[in-house]
Amino acid sequence: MKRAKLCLPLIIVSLVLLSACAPAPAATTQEEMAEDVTVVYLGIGDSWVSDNEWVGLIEEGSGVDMDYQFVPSPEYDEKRNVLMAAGDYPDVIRINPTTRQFKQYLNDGLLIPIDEYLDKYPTVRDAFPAEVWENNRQADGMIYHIPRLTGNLPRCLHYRTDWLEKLGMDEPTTLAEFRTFLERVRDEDPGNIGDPLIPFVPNRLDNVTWSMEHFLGAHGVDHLAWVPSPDNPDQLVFANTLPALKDGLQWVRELFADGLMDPTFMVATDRGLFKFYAGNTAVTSDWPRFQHFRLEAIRNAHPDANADTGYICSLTGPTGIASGPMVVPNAQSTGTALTIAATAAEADAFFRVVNWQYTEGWELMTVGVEGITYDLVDGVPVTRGRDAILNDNPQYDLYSRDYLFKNEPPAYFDYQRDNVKWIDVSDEMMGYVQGVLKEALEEKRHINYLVDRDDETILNDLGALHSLANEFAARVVLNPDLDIDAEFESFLAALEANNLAGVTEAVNALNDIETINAMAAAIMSPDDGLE
Amino acid sequence: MATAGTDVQPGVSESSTTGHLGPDSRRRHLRRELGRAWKYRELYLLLLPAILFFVIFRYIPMGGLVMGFQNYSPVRGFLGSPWVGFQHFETLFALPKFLEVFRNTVIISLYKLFIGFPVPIIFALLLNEVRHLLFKRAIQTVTYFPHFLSWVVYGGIMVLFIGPGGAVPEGLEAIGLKMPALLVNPKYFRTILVITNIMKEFGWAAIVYLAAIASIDPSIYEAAMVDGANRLQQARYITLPGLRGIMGIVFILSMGNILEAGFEQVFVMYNPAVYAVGDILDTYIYRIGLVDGRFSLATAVGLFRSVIAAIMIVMTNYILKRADQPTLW
Repeated sequence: MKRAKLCLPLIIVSLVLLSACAPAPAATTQEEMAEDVTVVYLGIGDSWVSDNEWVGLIEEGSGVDMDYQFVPSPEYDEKRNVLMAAGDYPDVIRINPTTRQFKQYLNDGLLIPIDEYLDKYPTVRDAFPAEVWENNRQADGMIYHIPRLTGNLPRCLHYRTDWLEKLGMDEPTTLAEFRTFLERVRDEDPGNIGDPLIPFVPNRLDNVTWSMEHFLGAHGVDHLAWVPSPDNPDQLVFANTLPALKDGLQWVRELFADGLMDPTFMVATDRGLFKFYAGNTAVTSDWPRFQHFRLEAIRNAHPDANADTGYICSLTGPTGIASGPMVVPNAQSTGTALTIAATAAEADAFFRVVNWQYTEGWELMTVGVEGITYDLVDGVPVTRGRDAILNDNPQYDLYSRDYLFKNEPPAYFDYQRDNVKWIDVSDEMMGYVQGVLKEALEEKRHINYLVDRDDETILNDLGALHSLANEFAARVVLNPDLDIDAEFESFLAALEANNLAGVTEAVNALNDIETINAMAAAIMSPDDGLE
Repeated sequence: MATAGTDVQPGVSESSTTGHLGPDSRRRHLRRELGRAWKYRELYLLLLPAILFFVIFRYIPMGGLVMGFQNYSPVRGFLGSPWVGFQHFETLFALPKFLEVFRNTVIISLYKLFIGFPVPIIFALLLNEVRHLLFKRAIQTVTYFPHFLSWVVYGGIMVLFIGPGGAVPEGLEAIGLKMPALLVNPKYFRTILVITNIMKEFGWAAIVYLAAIASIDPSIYEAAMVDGANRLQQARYITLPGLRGIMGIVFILSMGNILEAGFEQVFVMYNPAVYAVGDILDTYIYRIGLVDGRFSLATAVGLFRSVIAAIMIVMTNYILKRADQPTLW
């Protein structure tokens, strides 16, 4: 009896331990069909509010139950990797097809090909040019993701035009003029902001690219790009190895040291953009399509300020080089892939949703609901301001809808270009931005020639090179005492130690400069939806 | 056959005289032990959750270490993933980044150990001399309270205070002094890590020393006072020697943590500008394991670290034993 009493807790403990060892449930087979399916979608969303009307409207319109799960962008990769490693696969994930992780998922058999669904839903297939699909076939000849190409309103510098006007200045066209504008903002405080005033705040304070791309670009260095070598134009080199980088970083370093840039750069993890929203900043880095959002927020924060904003997409540097948004021909942003958790029924259901978004749901996904998110003005839909929507109908927040339509086809960008008022961008703004892009592409400036990354060496080692480049830039900008020449030499040595030579060889083997120049030239062609 | 002169019990075979028990004796021995366990069953029950914790969260996961020797695929699992032997360890040791993070980890840990080790001892000695009970307890509470804050909170407070635009640099600037950017300058970052760690933990760490001091026989102090020893002499000749045992044990355990420089603290406080001096093994494991999804490589790093920690504990215990100092075993 005593022995039994002693053994009982041991048995219970053993059962608990054994249950912890149970394997994860296996994914269901592809042959299973069900009438009622729920598609689990794991996406990226910094401001996702699950309690919104858009999900219901999509479900109602497409006839598919969707379980949208959004994770803030800094945590997304980690969350997705943990779920995939644990066997807890969502049906649909967001993943950049040029990353090592995508290849690993492919090799592990975690993704399913979508060719049969593209054949079944030709609207989805025809939404992207044929060459885009062909460029995205994997080694086995199958397609494993719906691409997401970049848009035609790239990141620029968003600034307060009302402050510029109060200072009696013209819009800066050079780095020197831009710096003068920031200095006068700091010294004269045209907005009467007082202590919280910060002349320039990068959109994201923890991101080197978003903070410095225009300034480095004006010195002839496109951060993290692969460009033709000045010494050998037929050879691609890592742009951050160019000596001009030192000059660019020195310029930014002086900006930071002189109090013209947010002092919490690289230390804070919150969005610098929110300081721009609060009306305390003269300049941030931003996308022109969100101008009305930002302006509305600033006007709410400072109702008496008569705030107004504009964009600068190009600044000329000391050597006459004009900066501009970097373009990757056939750029691949975060695409959409189906995992092995998606049964045939669920995969088909997801494609029904995408198909619906491109057809009957197009108006809902682009302009929204008349009377709530937009008004018809002379027959053209004009989006209502985000704050107005949040005040009157918060469940129709446009940010929530944007997260649900991340499979934008090129036609989406054509629509943007043809209906600028829909995105509340003036014809003038659109013309300006497109002009900057066109000029840069015609002169073959600001092109990242690393288009094809499908190589083991690139996939394994490129990340380390990027990390080193970001660390070097941050270290130099934030520490005025560091000898920039000595640090640059150490940086080059560190790149070499991290297989720069091997990556360079692989990049050059896969990416032909002439071919990519032709792709870049085709980008601005009105017949080609590639943006 | 019993050997002459041996005290052989009935029922005990010859082999029992050389230390081996016969079946009957073994059963009796087992019954005796189980009886003793039953007698102290409440104590064992109290111990059970801790044992379960270690079994579930420390011993069972050891099975996952096999990932370090495989090209692990979550789909194929442990049994289906291909075996690659020491390939990941070879890759690891060849990575320039690994050498950097290993060096950072050891340096930061050694800083914390040798600078941080005496602080709670000195604090315990000082606090022991305080006679005003209320004041003593207040100080104790205030100093060990930060231990209960997570580094997310405490590190965030530190960043707010000493980071760019923080209260400390702004205050110094107001009186005409300029404070260097401590959190983004590689020259100061390790020092900041060590100091903030000491500030957070010294109060809690002093508790074991205070307990050890409390266990010293008061009559020794009385005798010392009679002999004319002042407080400093009492601390030097009575208190410190009395703490030797616990100091040795804490030191051994600290050596076992030599490759744990404090993931949470570093993760909250570091940034790309100081990766070269602040990036440690744990933050590296986090990035390659969770963010990059390279589970096998991350497991190899973790296993390497654990092996080194075990070797350090054994070595330190051995050295202290040879020096006739109190040890773990």
